[in-house]
Parts: sequence; structure tokens; C-alpha cells
Amino acid sequence: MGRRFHVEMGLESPVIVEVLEDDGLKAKVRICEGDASREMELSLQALHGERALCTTQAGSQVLDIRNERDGSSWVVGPHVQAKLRVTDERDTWLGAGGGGAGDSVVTVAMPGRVVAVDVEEGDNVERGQRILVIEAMKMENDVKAPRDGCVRAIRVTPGDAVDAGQPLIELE
Amino acid sequence: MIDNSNPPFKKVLVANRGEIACRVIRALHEMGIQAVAVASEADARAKHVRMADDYRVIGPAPSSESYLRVERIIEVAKETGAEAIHPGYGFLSESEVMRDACDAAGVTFIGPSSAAMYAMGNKTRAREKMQDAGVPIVPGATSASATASEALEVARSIGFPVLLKASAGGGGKGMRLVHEEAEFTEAFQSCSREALGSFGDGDVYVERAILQPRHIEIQVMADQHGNAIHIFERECSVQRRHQKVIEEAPAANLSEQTRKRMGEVAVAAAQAIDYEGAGTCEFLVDQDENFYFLEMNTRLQVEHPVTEMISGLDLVKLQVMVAAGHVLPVKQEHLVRRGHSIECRLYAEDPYSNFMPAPGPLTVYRPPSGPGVRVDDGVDEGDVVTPHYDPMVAKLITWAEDRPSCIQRMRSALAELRLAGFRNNVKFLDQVLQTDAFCRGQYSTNLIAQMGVLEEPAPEKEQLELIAAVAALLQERNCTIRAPESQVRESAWGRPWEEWS
Repeated sequence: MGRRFHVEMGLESPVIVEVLEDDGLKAKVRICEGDASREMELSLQALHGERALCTTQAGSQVLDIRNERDGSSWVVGPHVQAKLRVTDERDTWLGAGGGGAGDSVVTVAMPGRVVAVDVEEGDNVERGQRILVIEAMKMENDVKAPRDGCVRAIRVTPGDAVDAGQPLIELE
Repeated sequence: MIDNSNPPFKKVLVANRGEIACRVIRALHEMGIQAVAVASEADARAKHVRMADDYRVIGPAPSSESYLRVERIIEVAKETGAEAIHPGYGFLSESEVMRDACDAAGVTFIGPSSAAMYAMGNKTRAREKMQDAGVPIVPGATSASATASEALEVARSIGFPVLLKASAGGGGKGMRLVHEEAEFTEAFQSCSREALGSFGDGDVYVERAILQPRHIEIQVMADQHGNAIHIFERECSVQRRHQKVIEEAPAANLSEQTRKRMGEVAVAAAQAIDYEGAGTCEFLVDQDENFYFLEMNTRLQVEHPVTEMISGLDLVKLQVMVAAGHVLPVKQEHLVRRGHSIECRLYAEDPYSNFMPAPGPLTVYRPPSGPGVRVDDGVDEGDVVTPHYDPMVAKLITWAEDRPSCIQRMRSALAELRLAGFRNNVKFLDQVLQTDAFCRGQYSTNLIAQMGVLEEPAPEKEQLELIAAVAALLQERNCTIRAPESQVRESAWGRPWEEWS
């Protein structure tokens, strides 16, 4: 299974994009919206100045891509301006990424082992900043701060086995 | 035609902001004149400041504490050695106080005399003055009526339908359209009551109602030596909330005969008040091409570029020349009209939510270009449209040999434009350009109202899916499109291009 991404773009539910193949230029993806899904082949090439050239069977277009400080991005092309937010599906399991801004206890949604703790008590962290690395499903996964805040307590040390839902780090 | 080797001034202060300040600064630079900008604190790093040779911050964001401060602006002119002030449009451009203060300080005001501004500054006064000069005005009473029977006499003499207007009113309040005599008395009484309640004055005017009017205006230019010309007409009937959205020159459907007469009348109006500089006579035109004087704007207009495009003249340069006392370098018989031009005003507003202003950052701004495409803007990408001033961001102007090509060129330019970061009217402009009425050139000031409640055109599903796929791929390639860590915007890709391109 390829990596899956949740793309929130103001539609009723996120569009789920699974990357099936990608050689760094040409790629094949599966796009799922609700129960429907379709595959798409495209080539995506960086251009100077925060732009990308995107080519599909239907033709080519140049897209402007800009980051916002709140973690969202603009993708702007002919007749379309989309403000969106992309989350790696693994991050959604890990509780961060799509987490609510009010979350003060960081947890993960599946059992694993703590590989690294990047912060100390009293550190100020920014939303999206990596704070822990958890090994799960034979992969290392970054756990990111769900919001800006100060680290109040660290409940784990590297090497610890952790359960789903177990408190790992508390933010003020 | 204009000799730049000996500029009429060395330095000119531009007492404005936004696109018009940038437009004026460009003209000054082309003439070899240095430009001094003034800015509010909110505009301290705005494009017009960046373009100018010198600048002063003259006060806080509210216009009343910055761009409207006559004394402070004249002080800046003195301090920086500016010999003249160009007021742009809006702000102090039609202020007699400003003109008089300039005269007193020995600074040239690039605009008409205060007497001309005074004559045109009040609608009733202007109406009387114009009537004396033989300029057609909307048939109606010369004074307000206090009673229904008196007003009915007036209505009978000018013919139905008539419009009742509160003498002290404005902004559409206290107005009644009366189709026939039977409705008249009741309408008068209700209008009078509303006027009394709203303005403390129950007097009501009777005027011929112009149904489905078109708004057509004539550009005039006059020097200090009694020469006055008109530079054709502009049609500005595409309006929302009484503000213009799309303008064109020449008018879509106007007979040569009417065009000629309107031009002559406008020149006569300018001469009647010894006008000097650039001015515009606005007219209402009915379906039979009867035209009636509305008002005269004693300044440069927002939509002046369409006139420049079809005439080949630079109105700002002409303003500067005549203000310096030069003779108008062109004569009426030398003017040639060529092709067609359209202007679209880009607003930071939500056309699908009652045109609510929607300020915000210009996250993406890539204006179109190419043959026959002109962009007059006051912003660059990364700037912010603040809530303090007019929500107009830029003007997009196209020119082509004929009207259909010009519409097509504008639609292509709108498609080429990339704009994001705030709600804007780009899609709406394209919707207007596509209407049958606009394409046929058979439209009135009711056009936007007749389009009804518009839905925002949804982007095509395939396009949205493609965008989602692009966003996911960028993430997968670790070219993170997450928020950059510092406040300085980094490359959207998070790592050097070479690594993955």
C-alpha cells in the first residue's frame, strides 16, 4: 500500500490521495472521495519561484504554491484557487496533524516504542514541530505538536513501550 | 509630442495612495520629474512609497489623520522642495480648501480652480449653472415642492413616469418611482413622510424618470489659455452599489451623431466654468439616446486608462503640462479614436455575499501581460490589502481593434491572472463579461441587478482532484508544504529544487 494523504480543501470530507508510484517526476495516484475512487497519472516538476508544472492527459498547467503560517497552503492555477491542508495518514493515527488546537495531552492511536524525545520540560513548541519519534508498524513515525505551547510534563523516555491512548507529553 | 528635455517641474508631490499614486509617479518619472510620496502609517512600505524618490509618513491609518491633512501635506511639499501637488482621485482631489491652501503656499495644484470646483461641487448649483450653459439636464422642477397638488402639476408638465426625490436626501433613501398619475398623491405623501423622518425636511423634487439608463461620460481637458477639448466618451453602466465595476471606451452602442453632440456639450460645460485640467462630464442616456447632465467630476477618473488606450494620449502628463501653464499640445481635430478598450476593477470583496469588502494578504499575485493588456496596480505579491481604504486592488485594462476581440482579450487576461489570499471579484467579472446583454452591448445600469443572485461558480471536480493529488505528491516527496518554521517565507518546497526536479 502506498502512502496515503488526507487533503482538506473545504469540501464535505477530506480527499484521500494514495501515492501508488512516484519516480520523482511521473507518478500514479489513487484519489478517493467517499466510496468513489479513481486512478490518475501525472507528472509534477518544480519550477522556479514556488511554482510547479503539472502535466496530465488533459494537458499542462502551472500551479503557484504558497505556505501560510497556520500550516495551510494555497494552490493556485487557472480558474482555481484552493486553500488546503495536507496530513499524512500516519500522522492522523499518531494524533497530531489534524489534532484540535486545544489538545494538551499528546497520545498516539496505536501501540509502539519510543525512539526519541526531542523536547525537554519547559520548552516552547510550535504546532507541527516534531516532539517525539515512535516506532510502530516497523516504521519510525514523527509525532508532532498538536498546537503551540509549553511542555509541562514528559511521561516517557526512549525505549519505552507505549499503548494507544497513553499520555506521552503534556502541554500547558 | 511632449518635450521631456525641459520638464515643467523638477519635483512633484503625489497626495494619494494605491494604484493612482503609482500611475502618477510613473508619468512623472517618464517626464523626468522626481516624485515625493506621502503615506499613512499603514502604508509606510506600500508600493507607491517604494516607487517614489522620497516620501514622508504623515499620520495614522485613518484618512482624516493622514491623506486628508491639508496643512501637513503642504508642509511636506515645502520640506522636500516639491513645486506642485498631484491629488489623484478621491481624498483631496476635489477640495477647494486644498486648492486655496496650495495657492497660499505658492505650490501648484494640478487640477482646476477652486471656483470651478465650487461651481460643480453641489448638485443643485451645478444643475443651474449647466442649464444656463445650454447643457441638457433631466427635465424636472427647478425647486422642491411642499404639497402634493403643486408637485402633481410639475409631474403632468414633464410627463410620467416620474421620480420623486427627497430634496435633502441621498443614497437612494426617500426615492419613489411613480408610473402613473393615479399613484402619485399617495407616493408623494409617503416619500415626504420618509424624507421628514430621515432628513428632517419633507420637501420633495419631481424629475423625469429615466428607465434603464446608461451612464456615459465625456472626458474633457482644458488649458489656462481657453483651449478645451473632449477626448471621446466612456461607458460606465456596469455598476454595483452605485460604484463602477467595468468601463469601456467607446460606448457600446452610440450613434456618431449623439457622440459628437455629447462631446460638444461637455466642452461647452467646461468652458462655462473656465475649467482647467482634466475633468469628466457624466450623463444619463436613455433608450432613445436622449442625454442628461448628471454631474461633473473635477479630477482624473479611476477609469481614465480606457480613454488613454483609444486616444493614445497620456492624461496625467497632459494634466501636469497644463498645470504648468503650457498650451494643450493637441487640438480637437487632431484626435483620432482607435479600437476599443475595457477596464475591469479588481476588488478585494465578496461578490457572492453582497459585495462585502474582504481585505487580506496578496499571497499569490501574478498579473497578466501581453499585447493590448495593461495593469494599473498599487500592490505587489506579499503586500496586504488593509481594511482602511478602498478595496480596489488593481485595474485590468485591455485594448483591441474591435469590441468582441477586446472582450475576449479581457477574458483571457482574467484567466491568466493569478490572485489568492482574499476573496475577490475575478470570477464575477468574467461572469459579467459573458452575459448576453454585455456581449451585445445592450445593457444599462441595471445589468448587475438583472443578473440576480449569483452563485459562485464551483471549480470543476477534476481540477480539484488534480490539486489534491499535487498537494499530496509534494508532501510525499518531502517537499513539505507545511508552515515554514521562521516567519520569513521559505521556498514552498522545503528543500532545494535540484534534489527532486
